[in-house]
Amino acid sequence: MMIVDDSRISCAIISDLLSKTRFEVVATARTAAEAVEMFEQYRPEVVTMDMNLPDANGFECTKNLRKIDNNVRVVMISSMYDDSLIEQGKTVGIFDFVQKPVRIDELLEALVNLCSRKLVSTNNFNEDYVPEFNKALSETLEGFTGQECLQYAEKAESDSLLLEGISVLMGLTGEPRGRVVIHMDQKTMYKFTAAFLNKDESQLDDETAMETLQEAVNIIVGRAVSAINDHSKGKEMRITPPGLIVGYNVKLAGAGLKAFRTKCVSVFGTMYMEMGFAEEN
Amino acid sequence: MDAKLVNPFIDAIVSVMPMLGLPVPQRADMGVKSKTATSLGVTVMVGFTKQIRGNVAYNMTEDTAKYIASSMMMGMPVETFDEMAQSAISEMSNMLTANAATSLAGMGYDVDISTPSLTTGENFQIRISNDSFLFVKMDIGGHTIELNIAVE
Repeated sequence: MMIVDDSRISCAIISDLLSKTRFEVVATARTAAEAVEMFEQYRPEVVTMDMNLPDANGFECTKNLRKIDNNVRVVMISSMYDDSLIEQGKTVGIFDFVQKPVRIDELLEALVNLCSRKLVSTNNFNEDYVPEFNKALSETLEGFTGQECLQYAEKAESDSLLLEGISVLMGLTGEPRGRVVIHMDQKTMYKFTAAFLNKDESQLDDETAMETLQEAVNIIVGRAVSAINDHSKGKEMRITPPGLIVGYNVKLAGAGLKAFRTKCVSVFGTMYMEMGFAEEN
Repeated sequence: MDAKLVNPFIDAIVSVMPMLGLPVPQRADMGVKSKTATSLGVTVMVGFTKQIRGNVAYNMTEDTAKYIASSMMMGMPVETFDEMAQSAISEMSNMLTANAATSLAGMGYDVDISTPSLTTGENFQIRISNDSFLFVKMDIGGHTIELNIAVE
């Protein structure tokens, strides 16, 4: 275990309490920078995190530790404890809080909870995965236009997704499982694929445009998944070949996935992307 | 396309459906199609990857989907193809593909499958391959499921 707390007294108290348990303290850090350094050196499995550190807050520090090892289990030990902190904690994968002054029974309960919980629940899709897909989409579009495309996060109003026009669907396997769907109207597909092939729209037929769109989406999703795999150690996501759906008023069922939607406006038209991830339980 | 890679998908439907309380599926038709299939109303796509990559689309009418869902839910009447019935059909597709993946693993091909994507609508097209794909029609107690299988 590693204790991160700017107060020498708090470190000593927590360390003393833990010495009565079977958890072994391998490092103590007083600042966020020191925490990263110690973490790299000792690789503790569990970290107790203070909210206020001199150089960052506990959430930022947790994010930095997760960049080194996404599987690290973190319990927040702080004098503050309210709904807003709990909500913020969830966004960085902190689900356990102990309020100061620390009582041994509360600390043990939190640690047992933390260690019995499946690691995958610490997946933070919105922060770890979604930006990579957004980035791969915008970079690919901007690469062909030289112009910035505008992205908007869209709230998933319902579980199912209404597909209108052309949709490319790619499955994700490994960790986490899920899928990515990019859909648009036919006009947008033609403009985009013409630019992709460096041809005039009039030179394209449906067949070529669809095949090109499948390949383009394959590239976009492939780039995002490679970037994600690069920074999530020990986990690997893979993609299945693209499938295409052509039609109007087609409903794609939600499948219990945690879904995120992005609308992307470029000179080609508007594209919509939904990223869905399975939450293991 | 290598027929031996497709057989596990057919074997899966033959062995899994009776476990869900349905009659043993009989092969009604089989052939090769090019590029697109037309949805019969309910189509579930499942992708697979690793040593073999491809897609399988389970295609059926809403009536057939309700018939299967009802059997999976212990004969509970399914009037509308609602969320629960859709979830049953997704689960069936997952079971069929996972069963095929297990057979493929037995043949020495490691395969991971994606979550099933269930689509509903009228007259929409599904394209699971840039080339040809295999279609197999299975008759299940007078209902038909069409398997479209594309292996890269």
